[in-house]
Amino acid sequence: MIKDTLLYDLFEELKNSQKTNGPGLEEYYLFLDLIESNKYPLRSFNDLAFVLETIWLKSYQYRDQFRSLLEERRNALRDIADKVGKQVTGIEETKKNNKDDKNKTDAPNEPQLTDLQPKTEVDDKTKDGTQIKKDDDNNAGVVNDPEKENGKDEQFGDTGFSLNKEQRTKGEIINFESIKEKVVPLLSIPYVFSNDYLPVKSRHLQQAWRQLKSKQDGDNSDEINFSETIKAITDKGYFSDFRFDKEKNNQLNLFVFLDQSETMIAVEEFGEELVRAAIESNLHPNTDPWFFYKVPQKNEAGDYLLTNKDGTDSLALNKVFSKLSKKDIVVLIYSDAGTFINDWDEERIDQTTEFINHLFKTTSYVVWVNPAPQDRWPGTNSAGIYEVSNIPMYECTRNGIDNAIAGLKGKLTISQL
Amino acid sequence: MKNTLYKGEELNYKKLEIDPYIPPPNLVKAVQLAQILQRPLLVKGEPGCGKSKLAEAVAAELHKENFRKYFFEWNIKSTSKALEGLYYINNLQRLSDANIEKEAGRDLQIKLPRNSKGQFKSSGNYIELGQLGKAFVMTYEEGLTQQPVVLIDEIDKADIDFPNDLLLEMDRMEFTIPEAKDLEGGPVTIKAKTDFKPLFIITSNDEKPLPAAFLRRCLFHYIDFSEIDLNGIVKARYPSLETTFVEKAVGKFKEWRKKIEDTGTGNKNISTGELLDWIKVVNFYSNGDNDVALEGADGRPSYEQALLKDVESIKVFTAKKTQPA
Repeated sequence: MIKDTLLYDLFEELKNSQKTNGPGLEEYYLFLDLIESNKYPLRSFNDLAFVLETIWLKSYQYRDQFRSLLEERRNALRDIADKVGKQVTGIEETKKNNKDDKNKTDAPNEPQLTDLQPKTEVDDKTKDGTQIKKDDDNNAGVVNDPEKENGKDEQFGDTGFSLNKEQRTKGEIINFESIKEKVVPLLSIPYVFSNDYLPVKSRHLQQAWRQLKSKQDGDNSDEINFSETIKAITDKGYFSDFRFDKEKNNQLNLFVFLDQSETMIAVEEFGEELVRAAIESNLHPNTDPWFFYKVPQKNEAGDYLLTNKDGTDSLALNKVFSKLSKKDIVVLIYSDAGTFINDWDEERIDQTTEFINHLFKTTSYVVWVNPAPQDRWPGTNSAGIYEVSNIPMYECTRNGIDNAIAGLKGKLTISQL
Repeated sequence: MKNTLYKGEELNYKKLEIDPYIPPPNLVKAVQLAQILQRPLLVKGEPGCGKSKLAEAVAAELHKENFRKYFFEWNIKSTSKALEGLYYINNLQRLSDANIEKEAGRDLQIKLPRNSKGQFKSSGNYIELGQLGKAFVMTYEEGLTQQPVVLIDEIDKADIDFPNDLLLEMDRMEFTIPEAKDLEGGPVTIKAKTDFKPLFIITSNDEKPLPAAFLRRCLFHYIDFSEIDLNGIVKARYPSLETTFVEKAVGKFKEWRKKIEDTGTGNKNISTGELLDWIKVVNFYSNGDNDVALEGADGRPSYEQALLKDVESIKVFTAKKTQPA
């Protein structure tokens, strides 16, 4: 029964919903181990949902998605809980848990993920902090997350640049009236660019860049290696000289290419922040941002040209790459490829693909970070470029940046298309 | 070996010399799962929600008065290295002895002795086991009926490689010390009892992402602040306070917390720690008067210094409703 297809399908779905941080097969078996152990009560949907969340969920970021997937399979999971629960006997539980269980009745009035849902803090009238929503979609019984009810984290979408997916699908717009009502602290300057405007904060970008390294021992550093020095002394019985740590040099040469086209105006600052964070990570101190307009242009010699921000200096790719070892060159491209205006331009797709293929031949890894939300990509240049060139393309989220940098290390990641 | 599951019971906190701890029911269940599956439990939640105190409370419930002996606390710093949790070699002492006492025939080898049962002790010649190592060794103690508890506090403070460096040790609950020998010259491998592993509780403030491989080895629980029984915590900490006063104060606290959440621009909200301090101050100045005003006429909390810790939170209570031009 446990090896039920439903359970495994659910596992796969939950795993995929968490991108690269999802549970592995080991966690699937861990759940089976728990069942086999007969030590933990799994007598209701809530029990089962709590256990699956504790074992299979690996990040708070995906909790709502995880819960809605469980909720969609409520009846099937309750059936599993019914069968499994009968196997478990003699469980010693806390008073609180027993108290909770007294109120539990499986269908039809079973509370909706009550044990899992946070309570609202101020309004204690709703006993469990949840409400049964009967909306226009006939989603009778769907739980309203109190955080969502409060509008928390929803207003500005998943990426920080736009409405979230659900809002776009439903054609919702931001309720500016409600924003107007909000108190604006007197001393705040409302429109100053700060770290909070970035979909991924500088600190996290720096941490992410610090993972991109290929260190090799260089010359002796100034740092004394005490363990080795003392080991030598005890081996010889006398002190002769100090042993020094070797310098660790990062061999990778990071290039960041930023699109300067009109569609990037609202999000171009993040591209430059990507470079700043790389420099401040101390592992990529020589990284400069290089810019292009829509597609890098070729010069007469057939080499691709990129420029500095003001267009006063240029970088000829082959000229620079030829001085470096191919395995030590990694490239990150930051562009929406015209997605913000839903652009589908076959000429741009072809030229970009040609450029990417050139990079594939001359560098070790290339990734693309796209500031446009992922669900805007289909039907635009982004999808076209990805399909033709197969470049790993990632959204501008914390997870997307982590995956992009993992891609630059050559690790297999799930590209978001 | 019988291993009792954690229940989140009320303890004699005064006797145990620990702060009262009232865990949300879901947190109790998560600890039980970690015990049953013998997996580390990774606990996240906003600062002040009781992540770090959990391990101490679990150890106290499982081991009662002697819990300090079975509770291993490893507070991570930005400079922490994984090796520090496993063992420490006193190189400077060895250097000193090598220079001064070599001729006196002192044994300069790093050695970890075994006890009469053949198990390694937690310290030896120039070597001392770290918190993880001590917990592993402890699992063999005669008469031990409950798991030792290990707290790895704020793992995200350390370097990004730190969790990866602990993967194998957490997985197998064993490690080898290549620099050391036992008294017979044999290798030193510290290993926890296979069927009685320590209970690991790991906390994180989510300042840095943890590697996927590390997450895979852990169970995960996020403490929702809204699940915390604030009334219960305040009453447990200050039993002499009137219930009506506590409920009124906690009600106000929740209201302010929501206000900061809705209108504040900072990244810090008031939490349990601030609530306890604030109630203590209010009670001190009110001389036990239950009708004391908890806020001023302008809506600012009384004795706000104990409650509001950043400028952004203070602004929430001082700003007038104005629109930007």
